[in-house]
Amino acid sequence: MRYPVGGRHPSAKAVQLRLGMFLAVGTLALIVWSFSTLSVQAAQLAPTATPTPDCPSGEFWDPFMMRCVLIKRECPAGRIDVNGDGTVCEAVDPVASPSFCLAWPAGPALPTVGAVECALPLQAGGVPLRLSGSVGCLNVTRRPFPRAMVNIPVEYRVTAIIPPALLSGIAFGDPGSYRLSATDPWATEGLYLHERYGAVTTDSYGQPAFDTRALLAGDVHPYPSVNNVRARLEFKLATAADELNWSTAGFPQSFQGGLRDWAKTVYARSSFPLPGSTDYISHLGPALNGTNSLPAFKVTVQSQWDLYLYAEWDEFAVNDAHAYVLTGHRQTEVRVGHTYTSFRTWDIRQNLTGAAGIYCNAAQGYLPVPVIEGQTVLR
Amino acid sequence: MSNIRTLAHRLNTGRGQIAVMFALLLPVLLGVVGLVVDGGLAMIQYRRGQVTVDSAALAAATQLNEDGFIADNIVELASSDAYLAALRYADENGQGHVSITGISISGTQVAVFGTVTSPTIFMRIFGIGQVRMHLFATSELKYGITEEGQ
Repeated sequence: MRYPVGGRHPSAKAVQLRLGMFLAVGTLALIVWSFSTLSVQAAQLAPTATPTPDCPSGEFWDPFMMRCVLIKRECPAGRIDVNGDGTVCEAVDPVASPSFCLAWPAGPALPTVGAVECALPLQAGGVPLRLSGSVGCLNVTRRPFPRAMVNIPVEYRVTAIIPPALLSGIAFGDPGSYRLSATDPWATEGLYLHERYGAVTTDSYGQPAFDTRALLAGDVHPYPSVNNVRARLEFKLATAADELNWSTAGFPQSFQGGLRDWAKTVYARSSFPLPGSTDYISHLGPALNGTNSLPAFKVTVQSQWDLYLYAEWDEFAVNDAHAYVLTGHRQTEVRVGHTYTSFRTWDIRQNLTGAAGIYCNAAQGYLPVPVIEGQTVLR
Repeated sequence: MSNIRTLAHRLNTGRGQIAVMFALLLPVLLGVVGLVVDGGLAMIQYRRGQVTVDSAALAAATQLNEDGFIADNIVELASSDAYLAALRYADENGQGHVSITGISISGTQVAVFGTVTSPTIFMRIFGIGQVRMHLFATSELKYGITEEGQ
């Protein structure tokens, strides 16, 4: 160190001593100040402190807002936030789409009433929901009517499917009942799913439909993946020119046609019940006076029907915001079973109570055709 | 003188009476033979004529009105067809001897009226050259399955 020349200069030891004393006093003062500060604070806090309020479960105390605030929670990905606060998270309940069904009988034969049941993948309590459908009863007109005559050609034609209102004895909804298709004159519809099982809702198109939440009984938060199901069975008549096959019991030959044209045949003898022919003679043939009293040939009309499942439904899923949302509207048309054969026919001009049970018989139906025979005699 | 004597002798003796009687009865015999022969011929013609009108009536009764039967299921004859059928059968079976004088068709019944002419052989002697006979036949279309009219 260099000092100015000519002055009185402290010695180096004196300088070090002063510096040491200064540091000691400063340190002491700092310590004293620190303790004094702490004690003041402690003295001040002690009388004003209050306990943090107890917040309900799922909330916490916000000291700035001075109130309980919900604890923000997030549902896992792919889960529905039921309450919007992450407290209840639900997965979508998987419900099979009604895109097919298993039909019985599978065909080609049909039971007497011509009904088919078809089990959907939708289940309630482990039991599949079912749809049903029935082939229509064909109205067969013929000329001449009511009686035919030997050697005069008899012409047959299918004019329409008999409106259900004319099928006395079969209540709507019962096996064998049907509804005419709104779009196809040669098709019949069965009950819709919601008509059969109830639980009616409205689909995304505003149409009545079946609410699949009814299948999730016991689930507090039902969120079906498939809902608003509109499903039905439809029978379609094969309308190709040669699809109708006509035959008369006891006669070897059959004939075809009768949809776009007249199917024709000629009887070489009357329908007199000869010995040995009683099996193929009906005694309910219509007479000119309106009674059903004439012996008649049993004319069968075999028609072919294809069964289709028509279904449409809404599909739902979970979006990124954990909301249960509609993702699309699907529809399908599936052919089920084999081609069915039906003998369900009747001529609605024949007045016969209970005719539906006798002639509108898919397995054994027939038309009673009395054939008279003329003979000239001298008087 | 001898002829007169001979006649007187025959009258006295009865000889030649047969010849006289034959001469007297010959017209009667001719009439009977004429009746037999010409009557037989007439009977043949009558039978032929009756068969003709019968067949005409039967043929007419087969002419069912098919269109009507198909349309309203009523069994009745087609009048025009039945009429023509009756005439055709009468013409073919009558061999020129039968003429149809009337045909009546109603419902399923037919009546045929006609005449047949039979020329005579022996009766011409008496100025009867032919015999004309009236014919009549009715028929009906009967129908049914187990009993008539069903």
